[in-house]
Amino acid sequence: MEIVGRIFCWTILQVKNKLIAVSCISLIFLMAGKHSSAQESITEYHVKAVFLYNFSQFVIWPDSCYTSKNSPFVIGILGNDPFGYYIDNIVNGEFVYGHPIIVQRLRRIDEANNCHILYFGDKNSDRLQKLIARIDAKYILSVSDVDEFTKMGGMVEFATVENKIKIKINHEAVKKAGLEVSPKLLSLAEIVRFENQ
Amino acid sequence: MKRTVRPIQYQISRSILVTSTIVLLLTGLAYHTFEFLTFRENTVEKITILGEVIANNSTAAIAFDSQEEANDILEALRAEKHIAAAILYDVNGNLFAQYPKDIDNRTYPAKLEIKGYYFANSFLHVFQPVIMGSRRVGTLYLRYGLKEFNKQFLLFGFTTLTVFGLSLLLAYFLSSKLRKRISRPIISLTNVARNISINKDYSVRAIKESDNEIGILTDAFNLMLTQIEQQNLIIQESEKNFRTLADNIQSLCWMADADGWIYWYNSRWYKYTNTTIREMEGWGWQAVQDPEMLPLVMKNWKDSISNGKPFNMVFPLRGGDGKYRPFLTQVMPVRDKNGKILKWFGTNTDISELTEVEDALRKSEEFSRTLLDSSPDCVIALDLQGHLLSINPQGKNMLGLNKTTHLNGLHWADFWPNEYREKVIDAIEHAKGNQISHFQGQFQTREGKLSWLDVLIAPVYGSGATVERLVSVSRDITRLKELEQQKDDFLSIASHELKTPVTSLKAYTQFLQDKFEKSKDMQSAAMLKKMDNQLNKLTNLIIDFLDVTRIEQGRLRFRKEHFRFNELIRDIAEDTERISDRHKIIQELSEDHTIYADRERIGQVIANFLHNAIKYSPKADKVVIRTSVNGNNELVFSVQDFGIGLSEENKKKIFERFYRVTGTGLETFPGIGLGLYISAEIIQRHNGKIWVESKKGAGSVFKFSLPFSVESDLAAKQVEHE
Repeated sequence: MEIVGRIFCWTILQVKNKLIAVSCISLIFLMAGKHSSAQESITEYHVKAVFLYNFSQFVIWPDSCYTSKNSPFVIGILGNDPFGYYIDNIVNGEFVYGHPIIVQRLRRIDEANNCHILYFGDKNSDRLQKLIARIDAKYILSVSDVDEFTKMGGMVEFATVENKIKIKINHEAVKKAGLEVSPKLLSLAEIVRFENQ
Repeated sequence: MKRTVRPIQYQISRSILVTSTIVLLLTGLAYHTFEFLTFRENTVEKITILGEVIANNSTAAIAFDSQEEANDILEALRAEKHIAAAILYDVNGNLFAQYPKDIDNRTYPAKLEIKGYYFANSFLHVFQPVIMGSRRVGTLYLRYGLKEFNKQFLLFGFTTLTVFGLSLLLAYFLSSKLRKRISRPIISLTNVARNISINKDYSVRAIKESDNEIGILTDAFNLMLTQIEQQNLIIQESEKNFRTLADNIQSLCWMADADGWIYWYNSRWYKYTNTTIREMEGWGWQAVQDPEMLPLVMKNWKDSISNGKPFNMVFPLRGGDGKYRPFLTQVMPVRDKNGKILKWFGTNTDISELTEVEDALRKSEEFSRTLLDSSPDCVIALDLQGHLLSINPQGKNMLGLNKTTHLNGLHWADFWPNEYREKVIDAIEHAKGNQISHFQGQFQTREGKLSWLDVLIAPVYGSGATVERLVSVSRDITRLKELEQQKDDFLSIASHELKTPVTSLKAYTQFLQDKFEKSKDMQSAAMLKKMDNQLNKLTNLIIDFLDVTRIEQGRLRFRKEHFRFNELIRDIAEDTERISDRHKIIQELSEDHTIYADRERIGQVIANFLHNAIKYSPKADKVVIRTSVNGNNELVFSVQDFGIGLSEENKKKIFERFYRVTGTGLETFPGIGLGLYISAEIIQRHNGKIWVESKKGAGSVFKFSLPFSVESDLAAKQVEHE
């Protein structure tokens, strides 16, 4: 299995259709994950990186959130970056309605205003809650893999169930941010209500 | 009747049924095909759209790796019962989700395609890509069952066939009703036509029932009947005319069928033979034949019938009075356009009178022949080219021909020596041009005997005044010629013998005249002067005779030189004026040329012209002489007098030897008629022409022309200059 995995890793760099390649690899590694914990985390974040990109295809941002026609669609990674260069490979050359997708690494929350998707790398729930509260701008889809992220006021949460990555969506928060989630995405995600809001 | 009626009705029915069947078949086939294609197209479209919807719905499931969701989406296809299977593949062709769950392995498509469809094994197979954004993330495969559709299609075909059969039945039923409407007028027209052909009654007319083509046909048929009726009348009239004509011609005539069976005679036949049709019909005519001739007549007549050639024969027929008369019988076959003999038309013409005329004619011809045979002249019939056709016995004798000599191809000119051949041909040409022509020539017979012939060639006219042949009549004039020669010889000798004594007489007379003048005996001198004049005349006469004999003997010689023509004229005119106190010679000499000729002889001609002019215009006081040039570079000299003139007949003969103009009141003009003969000879020998223009009572213009050449003019001028 390792050998197969290596071949596919090498393939990632070669094959143009990175999205597909990554999808395939992620699936294979998910299946193989039980036996190799060292590579488990890499595999998991590969899938998550693909999903981050996929959100750009199933969530609709209004035109007003772009400064110009050619201004980029920004995926921001705040704090700790678990994706590494994989996510850069995935988005390289991809577009959302004509806007090129780029990945930005942020250190502070106030740098996130021009982001469209914001991934929180911090695992600390308290700090996370504070950070969520500090997001001023609308139209930012907040994503994290911290448990109960959606209950804290976050929008999209990656949850691992039976070795599979499931998506939880705080639909109310998404709508509040002026974003529209495709019913297709909604139909396969778990919708979470945030009572304390 | 019914048998002949059936076809047209049958044909109409058949046409309608055949047309209906073809139309129905084509319509059914086209409709069926259209339905089939439309159904397939619709099905493909429907399933493709369904596939698109499912594929579109499946993007998120594939993107977020949710097989449950994908299976749920596919499960929704349960509503469409003809969907036999639906399979979702990821982008690499790995199975992602499927419907129904318990799918048979054989249900998977043999080959995965990205997009498209095909029909196979009663299924429609559709492939639809699953697209996210601009990327294909997977493929949807749908399998649609067509068994139901095929069942429906069979039912549809069965319905069509049923409708087809019912329609044909209806068409047959309708055609049996409709055909009567079309066939009835045609059948009634046919009945009328049949009745007419059976009864020959052309006065019947068909009834027109409509204005369509059958109505037009009826009209045309009726018009045709009218025309036939009219033509029948004409034929009857013509037949009547023929009978009237046949009954009234002099000949007996009759008609027989192709086998010689006579079925009609004209009334003259019955009148002449005093028989009836019952006796004569068929071969009954043998009763009026001469029994002796009958076998020959029968043989010839049967030959004609068998070989189709016209029959021509003379044989006697017995009249009602019991006498036999000869009849010329001519029978002609009457043929149809293919040459087949329809009948024979015969005439018998009484030729008893004709035979009498023929006898008389034969006798007359025999007489003519005897006349010709006993003629002392050679009579030859010539064709228009001059070839001998026939010759009388005397002719053969004269030409020295045997009785057996063949005349074929012999030309009349071939009998003559070379110098006469042209004359013969000339004479033939003249005769062809309606002129009788005549010449004399010396002829050597085949036996070598020389003889003179006087030959006359004349045209023989056929009908319509065209020259058909020529006749040549030649008379032996050898004896006559000998006598003439003797006369000429005598004349020649006499002239010579006379010339010497007359010259002596003239010398003595002049001597005596001089003597008397000197002795002043003027009366005697005047008498001697008259005597001298008479002697001059005598001398001229003798000179003329000598000239004539020279001409006759071909001994007339010329001494040619260049001289100015007008000078000569003036000299002669001056001399001539002296002999007449009354006449003035007016000279209108417009042309002056040098000619090359015998000056003295030409002078003789001019003098002869002038003397004649004065002599034959005793009451006039002038004579006009002219010179001119004609188109052939010839000098024309003319002398015009205002005297008695010449008749047409005289004009022709005036240049002949010893010819003198005769007639009342002309006896006062002396002379023996040699002057113009000699003049003509001189001019002709100088290659000139001589002629006269004259009218009785209006005077005459005598003319001659002589050739001159520019060279001779120049030569003469050079001589002058030197």
